[in-house]
Amino acid sequence: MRTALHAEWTKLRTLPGTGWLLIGVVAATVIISAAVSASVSCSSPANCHVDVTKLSLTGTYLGQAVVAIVAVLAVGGEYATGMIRTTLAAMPRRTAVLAAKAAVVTAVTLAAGTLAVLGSVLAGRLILPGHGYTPANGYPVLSLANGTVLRAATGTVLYLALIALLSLGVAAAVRDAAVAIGAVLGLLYLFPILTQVAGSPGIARHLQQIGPMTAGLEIQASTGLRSLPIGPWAGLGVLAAWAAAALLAGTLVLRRRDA
Amino acid sequence: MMITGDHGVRMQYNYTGDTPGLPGAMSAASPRWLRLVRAGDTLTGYDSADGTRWTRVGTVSLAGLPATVQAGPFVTSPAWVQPQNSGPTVATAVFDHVSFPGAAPGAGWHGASIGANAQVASSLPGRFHATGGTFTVTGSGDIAPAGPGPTNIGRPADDGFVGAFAGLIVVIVVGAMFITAEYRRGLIRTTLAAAPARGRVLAAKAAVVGSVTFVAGVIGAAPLIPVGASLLRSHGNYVFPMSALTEVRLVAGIAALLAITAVLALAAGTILRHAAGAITAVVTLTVVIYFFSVPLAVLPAGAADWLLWVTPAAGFAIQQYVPAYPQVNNVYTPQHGYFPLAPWAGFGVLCLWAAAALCLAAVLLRRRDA
Repeated sequence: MRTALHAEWTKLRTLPGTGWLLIGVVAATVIISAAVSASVSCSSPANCHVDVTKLSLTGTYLGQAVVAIVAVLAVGGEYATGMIRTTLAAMPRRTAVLAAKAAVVTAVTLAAGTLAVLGSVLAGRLILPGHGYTPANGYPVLSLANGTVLRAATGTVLYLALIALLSLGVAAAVRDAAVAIGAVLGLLYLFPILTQVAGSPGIARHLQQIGPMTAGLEIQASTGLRSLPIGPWAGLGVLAAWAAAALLAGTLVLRRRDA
Repeated sequence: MMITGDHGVRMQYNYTGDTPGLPGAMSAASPRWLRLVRAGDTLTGYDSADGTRWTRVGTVSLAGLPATVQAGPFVTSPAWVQPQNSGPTVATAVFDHVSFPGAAPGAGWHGASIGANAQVASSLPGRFHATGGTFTVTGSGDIAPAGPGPTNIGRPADDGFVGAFAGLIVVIVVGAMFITAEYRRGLIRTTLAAAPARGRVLAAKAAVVGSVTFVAGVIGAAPLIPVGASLLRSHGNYVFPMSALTEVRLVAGIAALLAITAVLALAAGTILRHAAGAITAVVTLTVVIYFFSVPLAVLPAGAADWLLWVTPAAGFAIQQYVPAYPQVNNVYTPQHGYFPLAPWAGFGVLCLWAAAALCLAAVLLRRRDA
């Protein structure tokens, strides 16, 4: 397993795109988070009903797309160039190959995700008080010492790692980077768009409970926890189930098919 | 004929017609007199500040007005709407000197709540009280054309077009792979050797992927409106009416949206020469921006409007068909199906993006080695 990890780490590290994409994860997340934090304003406590913790992490909605590219390319890139045949000839234990890929991609996503989340929370902490979200209006300054903010922040890092695993599993199952990225982005963004036109509030709530993004991102909620469609950790669990199912499908396809 | 809080006396008809009368605010000290005269199909409204000098406000011809109609004083109060929350409002008015030619004062009148039911969140039941010749009437709601909004009175028939988003992601993948697969397999070198005019290769690819997507889009979108509308009706929703011409425009518009997006994806694939990057870029510019502006609703209305002006997501305006009425108090935001640009203008923005990307792609394809 150590050699498999070493091989996967070398492949990921030496690809020209990986570094830029990881910088892209951090940049996309922090820039969108800061822009959204700067776009809101709260003049008096009566007219702002915003979950500032969630708001300061809005960039996750875009950063996750870049995470998906990193993970999809870790598998799809090998199928594109035919490298996968060399990889599997060198390491015939195919499950170990996918496990090593998952471990390496998760590790870099956790690193980039941590930077992205810290940057976003810091941006919110610096920007939001200037837009009326002050302790005087009932909004304490964002701080990781607050248990709820810490849960949202660490949960968002885990969320990004699970998105990476989901994308990796889908890519291993469909064996094509283009189709895999289309499938992952569809899976993520179509659920909330469908929810918008659902025939009844009950159906909308169910869609939010099963969608990988809608359920998973409840981990960022810090207010109105009683009215959430699904609890924060349970929501992250739904995403974990999606990721596990995708990895299982990817493993089965990788083991049973010719590369 | 009515007296408003801020807009003086108005004569309104057919839900959209509006003629102003006496300006200025009304109070118990400074009341207004209103008179409506019927002659055949023609109704004429008069107003007065003192009950002696009358001014004609307007004349309206209502074709096919029955010989016997109900008439009487009414009170309404439109819902109070804000992007975050909304609710019904109530108004009360006192009418005196109520008369009907040939009838005794106070005789033959009775009160009724019109249109108030539990499903309409924008109104409350009304009240009516008569003492002698004086009537106290309390009312809620609006006499106005309905539109989608927080009052939740009805649904647009094109809600089914949400399915087009799934189709959109598929055509983006197809459009991008139409060229990136050639790069991946090295087929692009054969293609360019066989057809050295590179601009024409790209134009041919755009024409093929665009027309195939358009045809598939028409086939996919055509059943969405009838099926979606009947599903909505079967769940007890009021569906905003749509003419056959509008239906054709919507189906062709959605198909054209898919086709132009496929061309944009083709151009992005040519520029980036990388399938996953091109697909993510185009999905971000269309679906993700729509998602940020509409369902996510974290952006203030100004920022969301701006995104739907300048990005390819402006093309989604093509699905809008319920008109915005300036006289109806509503939240006219993308969340409720009102886009900042007119349908074809929004679609034009998407076309500009596709054209610009295609030009850049043609230049890069000519200048770079394959």
